[in-house]
Amino acid sequence: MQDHEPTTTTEQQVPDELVRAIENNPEEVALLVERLGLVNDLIDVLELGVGALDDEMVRSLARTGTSLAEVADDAADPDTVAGMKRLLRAVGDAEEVEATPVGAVGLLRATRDPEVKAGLGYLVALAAALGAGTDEE
Amino acid sequence: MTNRIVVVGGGTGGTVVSNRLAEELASEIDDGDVEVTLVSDDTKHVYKPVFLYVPFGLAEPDDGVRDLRELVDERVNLVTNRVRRVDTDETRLYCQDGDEVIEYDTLVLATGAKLDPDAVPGFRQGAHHFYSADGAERLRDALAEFEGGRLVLSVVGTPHMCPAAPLEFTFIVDDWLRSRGLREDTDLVYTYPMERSHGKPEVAEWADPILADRGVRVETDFVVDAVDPDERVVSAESGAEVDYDLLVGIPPHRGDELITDSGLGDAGWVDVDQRTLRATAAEDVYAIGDTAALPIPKAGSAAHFQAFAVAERIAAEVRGRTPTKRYDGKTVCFVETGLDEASFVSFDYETPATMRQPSKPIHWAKHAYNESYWLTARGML
Repeated sequence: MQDHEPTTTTEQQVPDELVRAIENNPEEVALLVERLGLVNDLIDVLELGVGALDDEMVRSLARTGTSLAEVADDAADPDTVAGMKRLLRAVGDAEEVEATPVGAVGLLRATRDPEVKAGLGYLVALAAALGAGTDEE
Repeated sequence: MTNRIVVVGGGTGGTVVSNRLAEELASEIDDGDVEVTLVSDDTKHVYKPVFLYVPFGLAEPDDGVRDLRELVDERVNLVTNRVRRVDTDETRLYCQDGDEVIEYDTLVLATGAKLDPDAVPGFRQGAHHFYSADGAERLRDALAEFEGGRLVLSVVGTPHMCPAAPLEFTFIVDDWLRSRGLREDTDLVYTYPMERSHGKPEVAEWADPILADRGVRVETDFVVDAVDPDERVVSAESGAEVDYDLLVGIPPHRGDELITDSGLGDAGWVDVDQRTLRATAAEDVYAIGDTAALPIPKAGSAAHFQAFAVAERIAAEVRGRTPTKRYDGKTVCFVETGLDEASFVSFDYETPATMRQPSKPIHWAKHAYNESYWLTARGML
């Protein structure tokens, strides 16, 4: 926004040590110059990025990254990790069996199964924790 | 017996130290050997650096506000109450509501700095500022109506929060006025109460040519003693006066009265060992952030680094070890040099301040940091 003055360059003396180093290592200097071309290409790419971005894009990217990191922070709790693994394994196992439609009677019958009972107990505990979390908010 | 660690203050220092303690002492807390309690008189956590952008329409005050509960680890007990007094002999906190008494084994004071606009006659009536949500919004409205004249940025109170903010505001407002075609009609004046343009000599040396290049008149040794809102004049102890059309002041600050009432330090700043951050008046009390009387500016980054150091010290003490972690004075501040570029400064107790060449990537780094501040508050960064 500020009208900046153009940068002025001043002629500087090349140190003798540098001149000698270039004279004594012509192959290395040639390789360096060749690689400078790659560096310049990378700078061009960076300049393109700088030219294409604006403040809101930077803020938006950072906001998204922050939201993801906050979710990751909560998810990194060892108990949460264990719970998520348990749920994910259960989803995988459920996919392996052929699920059939179940009505009210079928649902009642299923509750006699000890594994279903244990699963329902877990879901009730999950519901209670969700409810407690809602109270806190 | 449970080791009770109590933190007072829900700002940057208090929130970060609580979260770091919860992280460091997770197993001890889960086993019931340690309790971490954060006492704050506000259910909200406010990230104040956002206020700098509000006057220019670049942010809303709510952008910097979150529920404290959302930011604090669930292992931390959160108590909403105002602590009135610390009894360091009985190791108890006396609170305002319900006569609640909280006992502690280790106490961390992070009560922060308060604005004290009435310390200078006429400031409240005559000066705008951007150190609170209301103040920043009023300044936004005043700037929107400003059509030229003399705009004065006056650093009235020192020490103050965010030491870079006065220069940042001056540089941004210069750019902002240019973008609105008002700069040629505006006489921009910057006053500072010391013999240079900033408390840090290296920062002043860096800022002076930029201020000159932008055509900002600088008045140093200008210790404001009054503002006359009717005559629109700000006057200094030396007798110097500057008249204004729009005055933006950095308000006088003070510490929390609970610190003075508890005999822990003058003006609300706790006297501490500058390396251990332990209060000189009480062995089991630490103070961090703006609350600690230290030879460094009152910056959020300092509070953040201090919180990490104190959490590590307390964790060592809880485990019966000798704490070795020390705070080295590390402070890092971004400095906006306009609407498009920024610099940053870093220093510690031993190393003088180093300023970087202003650039757009640093400006974006500041914006990116502001957006990701919530990770800092959670103790992740």
